[in-house]
Amino acid sequence: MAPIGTLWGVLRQRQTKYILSAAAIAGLEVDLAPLEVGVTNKSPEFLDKFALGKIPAFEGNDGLTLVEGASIARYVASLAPESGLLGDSVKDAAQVDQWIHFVEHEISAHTDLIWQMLLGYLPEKTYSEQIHKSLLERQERSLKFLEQSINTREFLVTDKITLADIVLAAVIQRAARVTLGAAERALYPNIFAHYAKVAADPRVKDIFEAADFVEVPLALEKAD
Amino acid sequence: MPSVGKFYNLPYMRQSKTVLSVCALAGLELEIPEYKHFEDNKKPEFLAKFPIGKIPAFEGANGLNLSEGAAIARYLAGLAPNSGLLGTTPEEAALVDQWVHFAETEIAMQNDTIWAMVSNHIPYNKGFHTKVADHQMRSLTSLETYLSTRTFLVGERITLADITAASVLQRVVTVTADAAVRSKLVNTIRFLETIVHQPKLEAIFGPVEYVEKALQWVPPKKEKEPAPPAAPKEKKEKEKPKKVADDDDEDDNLVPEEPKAKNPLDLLPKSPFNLEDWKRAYSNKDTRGTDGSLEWFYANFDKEGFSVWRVDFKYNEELTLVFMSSNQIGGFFNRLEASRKYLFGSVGVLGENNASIISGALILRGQDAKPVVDCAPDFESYEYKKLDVFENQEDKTFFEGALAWDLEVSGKKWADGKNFK
Repeated sequence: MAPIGTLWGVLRQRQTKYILSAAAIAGLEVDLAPLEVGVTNKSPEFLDKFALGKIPAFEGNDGLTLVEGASIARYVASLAPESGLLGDSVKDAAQVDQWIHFVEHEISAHTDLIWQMLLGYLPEKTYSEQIHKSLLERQERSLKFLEQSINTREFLVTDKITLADIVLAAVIQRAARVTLGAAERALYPNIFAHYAKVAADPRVKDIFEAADFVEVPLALEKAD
Repeated sequence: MPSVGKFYNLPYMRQSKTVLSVCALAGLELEIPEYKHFEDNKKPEFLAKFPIGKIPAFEGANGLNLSEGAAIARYLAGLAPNSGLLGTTPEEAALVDQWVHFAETEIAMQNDTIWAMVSNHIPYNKGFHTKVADHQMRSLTSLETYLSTRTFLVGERITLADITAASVLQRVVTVTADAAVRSKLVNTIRFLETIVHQPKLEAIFGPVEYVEKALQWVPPKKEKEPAPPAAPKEKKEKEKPKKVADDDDEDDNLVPEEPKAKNPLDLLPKSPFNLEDWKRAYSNKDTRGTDGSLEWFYANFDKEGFSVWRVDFKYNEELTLVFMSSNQIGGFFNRLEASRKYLFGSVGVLGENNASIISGALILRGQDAKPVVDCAPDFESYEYKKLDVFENQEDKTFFEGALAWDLEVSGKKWADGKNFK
């Protein structure tokens, strides 16, 4: 089958994982463009199409240009309704949306901010232990809730993998590389069982790559 | 038209405005139950339906229970494909998604973080504030450029993307996008004004409050440092504690601090008339007759500390179906939530479908209605007339009819009503 479009993205990004996993399960092909981060996406040709210069970025064969990882992934999924990625009904689709939104806003957002603080993407002296702690607490509350919700279900919305499961797995993998060390992960056996199931799916195994989890949560002295 | 479901929300939240706007444009009827934040969302019945425990929350008439404002908005928009709210092709739908996601994660999130910091709900850090504000500014600049050649974000008509962006921007201009910043966002502001003034959306969005100077952090007084120039405190003090829940979170850490300036209504001389006792009497007794609540009222009311008012909707010619007008009253009452301690209301729809009026009575603290009702953005859509229920027979009759739900005005009989208590 011909590729449906071109994706500029780095495999290590959770958002790129969403998109490529969605494509894989949808049976669609997406071309990964050659990408030198910081160079390609700052070039005039790229900025012409994607004004903010951020990745992942998608250009469909019909000229559609899209940014925002979750939106690209949902679009890809919508092209293959029989894949079940958005559930099997309008209600399912709404619940898939709900979980993606929750996971991105209530888990991933905190991981990302902590990462930025630690890896020095902030102006000097912006590391704040209090903010770090506050973000960890918020993330913990969301994870505790999620741990209970996954309990009785195989997958989040239906009996098959949906985009919600993919997004959660990608977000959790990221969290386990930044904020969740071995001790923390042990608090969430259901979440990590879910992660393991998704990451082991033969269709997406290579996209999720090796787990690369941290032993202890990243802290300031370990950065740089 | 039957309601598509119940929508639990706090009306000033941007997500609520988005959902209500979708319903207005999609022609969907939504039921808005009474809701007390931090109370109702902790109850087992609520958590059984919405385990996330957050608002907004939607309980569909078809059994679907949904959390997350954006997911609710998209689902409802999808129920009315002719509305064009999600575009008309999969590609347009993807673009609508993209802009919603962008507005939420690249503008709103930053706004909420900054607001939380300057309000001391998360620890303040100047470098972090700067970084987050810069991030937001880059996003706003990109949006500005995009809007310099467009009226709407996707296609040539209003979509969910525009509604979401407008609800986000309405918040941004009260926190970070001050006069100086706005001078660089001319198209964005024009866009915001266009969307919030769409006829069906105007009452939902309410007025846009433009901040003069971006909110700054004021160190808590107990540190005994001279406070830097404070955030514009002339913003409605009563509204401040409520904005806490804006990030769609029932987080106990965000329990609102009382505004430093006391509500002037709390500074009035103590009154022997207890509004809570009145509300109990009204609820537990018959209104009219011996030992009724009206009898109780006349025996206990304090004319110095409280006043009685007639309230009339100004645009009765716009009213259509009785139950929708009843919902409008409910919505107005929701928006008066901040004044719960100072207000009682009994307001109804009188007449029939397409020939009705909204009219009723308020009992409120003090001698002036405005300080009590102006927490509702749409308070100016109603007229307020002080009543003398002791000396004026007409006023007394009106008042009693409003409370007994048998009021008749110009031949129009009471059809349905709501109480604020």
